[in-house]
Amino acid sequence: MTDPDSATATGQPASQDMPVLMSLPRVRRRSIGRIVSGAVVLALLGLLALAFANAKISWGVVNRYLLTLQMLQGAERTMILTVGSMALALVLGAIGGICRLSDNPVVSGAAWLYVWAFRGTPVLVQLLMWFNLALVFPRLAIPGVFHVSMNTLITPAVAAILGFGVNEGSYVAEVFRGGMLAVGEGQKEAAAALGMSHFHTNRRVILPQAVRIILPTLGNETIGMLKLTSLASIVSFYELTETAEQIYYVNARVMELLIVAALWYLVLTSIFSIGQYYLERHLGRSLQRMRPPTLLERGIRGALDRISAARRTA
Amino acid sequence: MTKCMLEAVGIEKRFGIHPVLRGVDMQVDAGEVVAVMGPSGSGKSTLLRCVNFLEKPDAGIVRIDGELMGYKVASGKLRELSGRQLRAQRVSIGMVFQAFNLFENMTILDNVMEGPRCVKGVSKADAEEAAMALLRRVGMEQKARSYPSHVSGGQRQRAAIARALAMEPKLMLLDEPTSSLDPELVGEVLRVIAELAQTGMTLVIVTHEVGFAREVADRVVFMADGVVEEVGPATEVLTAPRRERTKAFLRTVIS
Repeated sequence: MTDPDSATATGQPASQDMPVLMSLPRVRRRSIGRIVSGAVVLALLGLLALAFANAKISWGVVNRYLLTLQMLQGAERTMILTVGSMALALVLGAIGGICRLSDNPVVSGAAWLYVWAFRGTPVLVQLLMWFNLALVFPRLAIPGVFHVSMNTLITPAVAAILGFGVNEGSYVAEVFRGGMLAVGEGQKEAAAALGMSHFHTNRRVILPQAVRIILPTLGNETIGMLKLTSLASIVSFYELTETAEQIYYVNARVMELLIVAALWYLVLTSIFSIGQYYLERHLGRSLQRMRPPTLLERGIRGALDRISAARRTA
Repeated sequence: MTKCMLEAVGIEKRFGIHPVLRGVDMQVDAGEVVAVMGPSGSGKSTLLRCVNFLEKPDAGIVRIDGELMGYKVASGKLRELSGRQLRAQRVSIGMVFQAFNLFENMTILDNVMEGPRCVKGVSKADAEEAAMALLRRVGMEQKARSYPSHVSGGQRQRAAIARALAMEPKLMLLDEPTSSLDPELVGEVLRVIAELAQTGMTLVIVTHEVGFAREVADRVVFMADGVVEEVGPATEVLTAPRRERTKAFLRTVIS
């Protein structure tokens, strides 16, 4: 039946038509559905672009205000507010998360109360309370050591950072708690067997692993915080949105300036996203066999793949 | 007369209403190698964890090298030790786990250095030198800078043994050190343990490896249902068991 020359590597003879099948060229599958859905989406995008092109938006104004000193300062202040609030939130969140997992019911109860109170009330209400703190506590003082009037202490910037940071800290505390619970029980036991203290175990073993686990969530929270800071105008803090508002109150180019602000938010969130990617890549080094590519490497590799795929079908 | 390294009397432990240990006695002399065997659920691992107080026994007394574990005698009472005092006691007891439990966020070298550095306050240079010597001893010096997740299970367990040895313990507890390894990796870990036994280290090993126990262990403690069913020289218990349960267990393990 089969001729002995066509034996395969396994030693068994291959069917006679195999060489013919092996020599046939391959043609990629065409999917009508893909082409149709692609065309529909393109058409819808085109309509949207057309609508915006014909809308009563003066793109010249957008262009003119995009890089003005005022907007740059607004973006800078938004950035500072985000970083400051998030830094405070991380400190409070790490402490809160550790305390929530404490064996001591008073400590874990206090941490629970913090999360309950600050996660359970709107951040807008909390901002206004910090801003008006002087109404109930006119002075902050340690008798005989120092005293300061609350009105001079609570500037708009301080009120905003406290408001956002303390509020966000209650969320971050829960994120930390989840991350620490996700680190295997065996890690804690191994540390205990070596005679390591709770403090050392947390600092050297549990937290570093928890941070790697919760980093995607923290990145998400940071980007959420960036946009949430637009509420800071309520305590007269001139961040990005408030700056845009101040300008359009004068020149009545409402939509143009809101577009300028939106573009700046996109720029800032992009910066945070890229930073997050590299931070995750760095902290993941103990688990990955090969380092994931940098963004540039990823782009080059994708392009090369597409070129070689095109060659193969050609 | 040989010195008694580990003396446990009347150890009891319950998880909820479920009794795991129902009055266990065990003596281990200095330099002796004892294999703890028995069907799963018989309380072997719990017994080991009660020795270094990773689990606090509900009743019973543990003494390590003559020193009372977890308590001190004060005005006719057993007073629980503080966390700091208990941690100091654990330093002299090395433990090796079934799941290795190497610190995932540190390289293998850092894993071995961590105990001496942060518990004993050894300088970085001294800790590194000692750690490298131990890693050489277990054949892991090539992998010192690797992370645990980048090496095989057998290599992880050898590193974990080096980590425990770095604290210079008087007594080592090994809780099923080869049970989560692929069959072809078991040998390299057992070899390291056998070498350790040769150095005169006192070892208590929970294991299912009958052949290994016969070769390396001086005595076998056979447990069933939270009590010690049979104790004796390894060759005796493993080749001519007296108790019915020991015979039944050995039949299932060997076949």
